[in-house]
Amino acid sequence: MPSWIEINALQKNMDDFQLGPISLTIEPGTITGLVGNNGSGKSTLLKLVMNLANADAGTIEVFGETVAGKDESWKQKLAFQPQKIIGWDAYTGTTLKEMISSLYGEWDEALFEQMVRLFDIPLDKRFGKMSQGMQQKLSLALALPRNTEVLILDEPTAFLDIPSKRHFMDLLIDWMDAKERAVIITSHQTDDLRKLADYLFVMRDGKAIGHFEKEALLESYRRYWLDGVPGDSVPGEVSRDRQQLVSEDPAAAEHYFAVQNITVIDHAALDLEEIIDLLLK
Amino acid sequence: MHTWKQAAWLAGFELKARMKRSLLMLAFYTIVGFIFLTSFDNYLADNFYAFDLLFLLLFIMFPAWMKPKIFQMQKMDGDLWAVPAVIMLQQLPVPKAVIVKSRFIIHSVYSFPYQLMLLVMLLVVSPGFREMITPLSYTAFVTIWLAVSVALGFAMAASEAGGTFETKLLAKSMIYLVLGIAVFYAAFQWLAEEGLIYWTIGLAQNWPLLSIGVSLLVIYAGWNYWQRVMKKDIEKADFL
Amino acid sequence: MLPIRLSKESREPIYHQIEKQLKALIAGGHLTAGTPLPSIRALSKDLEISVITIRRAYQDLEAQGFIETAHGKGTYVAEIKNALKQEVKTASVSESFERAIETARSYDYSDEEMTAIFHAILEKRKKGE
Repeated sequence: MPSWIEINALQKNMDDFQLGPISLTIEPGTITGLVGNNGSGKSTLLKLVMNLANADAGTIEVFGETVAGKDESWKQKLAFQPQKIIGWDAYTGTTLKEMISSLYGEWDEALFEQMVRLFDIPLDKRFGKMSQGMQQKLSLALALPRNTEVLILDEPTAFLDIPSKRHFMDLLIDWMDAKERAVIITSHQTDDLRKLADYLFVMRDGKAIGHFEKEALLESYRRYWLDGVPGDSVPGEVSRDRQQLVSEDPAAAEHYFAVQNITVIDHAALDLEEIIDLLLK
Repeated sequence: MHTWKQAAWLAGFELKARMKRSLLMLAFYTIVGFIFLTSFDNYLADNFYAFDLLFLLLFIMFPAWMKPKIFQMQKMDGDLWAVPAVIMLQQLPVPKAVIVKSRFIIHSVYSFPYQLMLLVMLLVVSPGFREMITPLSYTAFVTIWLAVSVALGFAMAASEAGGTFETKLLAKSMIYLVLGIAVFYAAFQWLAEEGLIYWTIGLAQNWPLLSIGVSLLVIYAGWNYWQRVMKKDIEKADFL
Repeated sequence: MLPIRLSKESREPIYHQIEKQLKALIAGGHLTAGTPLPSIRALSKDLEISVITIRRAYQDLEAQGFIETAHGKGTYVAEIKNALKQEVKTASVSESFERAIETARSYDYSDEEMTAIFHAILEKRKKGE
C-alpha cells in the first residue's frame, strides 16, 4: 500500500528550538498517536505538514504531492484541527459551517447535524464567546464531516467532559469504519491513545524517539518482582526499586534470571502511561 | 476569474460579520469629512497643510485602521504577527492566490468608498475647488489619488501576509516610515513650494489625459505588484 | 460488546488470546452463525488494542472458518461443523485442566492427590445442586 503522508528527514530550526530530523509515514486505515513532552515539537510538525511554515531540510509529501510545491490541491484531502484555533472568533457556528462545508466536496451534512445535537452546540453563538469545551466540540463537528482522507487532530479532547470524550471516540471509530481513512492525533490523555492509536510516534525536545506499534511497545517492557537483588545490571534494565525491576528487553532479562538462578516471584506488563513516561525521561 | 469569485465569497464572510459597524463608520466619517472640508477653500487660498495630511492618511494608512480589530494584524505566538484570516484560510483548502485576493477585496472595501466619498464631497462642499476644475481635470484628479491609494495604500494590504518580526524592530520601522513621509513631505513643500493636493490639482489641470494615463498604469502595476509581494511573503512566513 | 478479557500479564500473544476467546464463544454457541461481529476498529477501541493486532486475529479466524467477511457488510460468525466445535470445546477444557495441573505441580502434589481433589470437587458440586 502506498503511504498517504511521507515525511522524510524533516528539519526546522527556530530561535530556541530545533525540530528533527524526523521521518514518518502515515498509511491508510491507521490512527497514529503523536506523543511527546510539552515543547517536543508535535504542533510544529503538524503545522509543517499543513505547509504553514517552511522546512529547513527534508521533504513532506501528501498523496505524492510535495506540500511546499505549487500545487495546493492536496489540502482537499487533509483536514486539520489546530490546538489553538485562530480566526474563528468573530463568526457563529452557522457561518463557520457555511464557509467550511462549501470548501469540501464530500461534506457530510447529516453527520454535522448529528454532532451538533449530540454535543448540544449553540450554532448562533459567536465562536469567541463559547467556552473552551464548546469551541472544541464545534471544531470537531466541523472537522469530521469534511470527510477528508486524512484527519489531523491536535489535542482534540483537552477540554471535553467525560461523556463528550466518549461520544467523540465513538464518532471517530464510526468515521474510520465508513471508508479508508487515516488519523493523526496528538494527545496528553493516555486514554485517547490507548483506545484509538494503532501506532505511537514519540518525540522528545524536537527529536524522534521512535515509531512503535502499540502492542509491540507494550510487550517490549516488563516489570519483575525478584526474590533477590541482582548485583550487576540486568539486560534492558531501565529502573529498579529494591526487588522490583523494569526491563525493556524481557527475553534477555528472563534468560539472565534463569542463568543467574534468580527466581521471578511475579511479572507484569507496564501501563502505556508508564512506558511513555520512561520514553520521555 | 474563478479565483476572484472564490476570493470575493471568502471576503464576504469577514465583511458581513461587521457590516453594521462599517456602515456606521462610513456615515460618521462622511459627517466629519463634510464639516472638515468646509474649510477647504482656506487651503486653496493659503496652503493649509492639514489637508495634505488628511489626504495622505486617508489614502495610505486609514484603510488598515478602519478594519475591525478582530480582523487586524495581531501578535500571535512568539514574534509572529499575522492577520487571523490568513492563518485560518491556509488551514483550509484555499489556494494562497485566493487568500491574497480576498485580502485585497477587503482592503478595497475599506479604501475606495471612503476615498471616493472624500473626493466627491470636495466637489460638493468647496466652491473654490468647483471653480478651479473642469470635469476632465476632476476625473484626472480622482484617478491620481486612486493611484496613490493603490501604489502606496495597498502596501498595507500586502503587509497582511504577516511574518516573524521583533516588536522592537517593528516599532522602529514604523517610526522610520513616519519620519520618511515627514521628510518627503517637507522636501516636497520646499521644492514644489505648494501643498500636495494643490500640486495634484495642477497636474490634473495641465496634463489631464497624461495624468489619467499614467495613473491608470500605476493602478494596474501597483495592484498586481502588491499581490505578488503578498503571496511571496505568505510563502516565506512561518505561521508557527 | 463482546465478553473478551485480555490478560496483559500473560506471555501469550494478544492476538492469540483474542482468537481463542472468540473461538470459545462461537463453539460454545454464545455467538451463533450469522451474528455480526464488531468492526476491527470498534473492537480495537473496546479492547484498547491496535487494529493491526485485531486484524491479525480476524484473519486467522477467517482462515480457520470461524468467521466470514461479507464485503462492505462487515464480519459475521460463520456456520461451523460440529466436529470443529467439539475440537474447540475439548481444547478449551483441556487447557483449563492443564493450568490446574500446573498449579498443583508447583505445590508438589502427586497425581493421586490431584485426582482426589478433582473428585472431591465433583462430589461437592453434585451435592450443591
